[in-house]
Amino acid sequence: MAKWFEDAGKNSDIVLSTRIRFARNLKGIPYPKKMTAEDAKRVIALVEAALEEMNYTFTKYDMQKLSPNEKERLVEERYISPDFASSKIPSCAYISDDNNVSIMVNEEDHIRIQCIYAGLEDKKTYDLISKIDTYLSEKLDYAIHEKYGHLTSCLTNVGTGMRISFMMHLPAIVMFKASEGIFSAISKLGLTVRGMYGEGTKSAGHLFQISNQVTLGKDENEIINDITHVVEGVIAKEKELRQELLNQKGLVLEDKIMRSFGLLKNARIMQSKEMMNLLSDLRLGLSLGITQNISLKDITRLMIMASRAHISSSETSDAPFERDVERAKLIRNTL
Amino acid sequence: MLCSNCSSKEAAFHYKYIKNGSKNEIHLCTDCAKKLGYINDGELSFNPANIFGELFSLPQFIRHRAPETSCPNCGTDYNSLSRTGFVGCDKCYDFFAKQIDAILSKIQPSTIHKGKLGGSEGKKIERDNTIKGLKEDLQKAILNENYEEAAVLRDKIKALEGEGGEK
Ligand SMILES: [Zn+2]
Ligand SMILES: [Zn+2]
Repeated sequence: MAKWFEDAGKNSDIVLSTRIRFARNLKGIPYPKKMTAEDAKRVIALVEAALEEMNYTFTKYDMQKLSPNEKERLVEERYISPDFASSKIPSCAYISDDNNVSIMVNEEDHIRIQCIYAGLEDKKTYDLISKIDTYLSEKLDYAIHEKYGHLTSCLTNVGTGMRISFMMHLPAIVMFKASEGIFSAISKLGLTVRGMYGEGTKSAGHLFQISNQVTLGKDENEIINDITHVVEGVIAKEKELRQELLNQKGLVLEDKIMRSFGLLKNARIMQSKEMMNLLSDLRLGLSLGITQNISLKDITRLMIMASRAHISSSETSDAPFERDVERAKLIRNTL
Repeated sequence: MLCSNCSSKEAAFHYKYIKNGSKNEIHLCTDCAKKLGYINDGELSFNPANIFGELFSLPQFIRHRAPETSCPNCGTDYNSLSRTGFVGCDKCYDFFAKQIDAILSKIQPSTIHKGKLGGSEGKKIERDNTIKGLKEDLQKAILNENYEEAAVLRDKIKALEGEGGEK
């Protein structure tokens, strides 16, 4: 089945993905930062046994057996975290065959369940992760506390253990220099905004991630409703400013977008950052009806398929120039 | 009163919100309120009830005088806990109970879990909390001489307590 980046969902012109993760630990076993290799193997065996009985099929990825390139690909596809890829203790990821769920065992917590969908899909994402969590909670002995709920390795996750994040494309907000104000307002709401590729408002490709900080004292639905409300506000603002951009500088905008298209279509050497910025123009052009040469899905797919590890032909050699050539070729073939 | 964002224009929008039981206020001029996304064409676009207040972050963890001891189960010491926010095992939550409660009340809106809990232990905790809540309601009902409601609540409590006994 399609992976999240090969798909499109609600509001995909602005929201690339909705991701939710739950942090869970098993009772009586030290958390990954303090656990022995034996403990780690025991947790893997317990989780694996629970997953095997489940009416949902997963493929196992053993971090100690994967090559660095294979691991980096999983990071680029956002199924595992960069820290997990460099884990020193026995650790495994389980990715569902429908590609919507990944479970990291022995990341920062014993169990990190994660669900991801393209678009603004908070309900669908929550329903799926909740189902998997409920199932696992019946098979495994979770570490829970009568007051704090789910116990986690880091105190910032205690309670629901839930982090929900939306990857958003906000070119108009950035072009109107409205991002700083909006982002500081968002952080005052107990949410975090960060650039996906690069720091702060200088994120390549105008991609930002908005996520919750509160994990305790509110239930999952309250947390999700609060953040979704804000995300919808940001979507409305971005839409309004996109229209404004079109009204104020229609021809200039069209020129910029078509030039970006020309570069993507013809370049022979393409660096990752440049590609991200050009694809951002294309995505904007598509949502405003300026260009129809590509679909939203294909843009997101290119973003991932042309990233470092995906584009590397050989396992061991680190050849930036060859990568840039391969990347340009892949883009030309897609457009 | 001047706008708390630009401190140059007169504040026109005043939001009050409660965080950790204490009242906070935010005052903005019309321009900043618009710019920050609080209002949209004169209408509130964000629910002020959701305003959580200042962003919390790990470096803001309050530093208590460090106890000289470490968790007997995993060896985590309080210094590293307060510096990083990481505990090492379930036992840390008992061993550093007071300090952890202080940190959590600083970084979260409440220190009482409200969300889902799975498994048999989770269900038991959820049931206990429900019973606790119902008992409080029962007291209120009796105080208000609302005996019909009290009878209903009493039955509910009995039913829940019965469930616990069987399992
Ligand atoms: Zn102002
Ligand atoms: Zn400990």
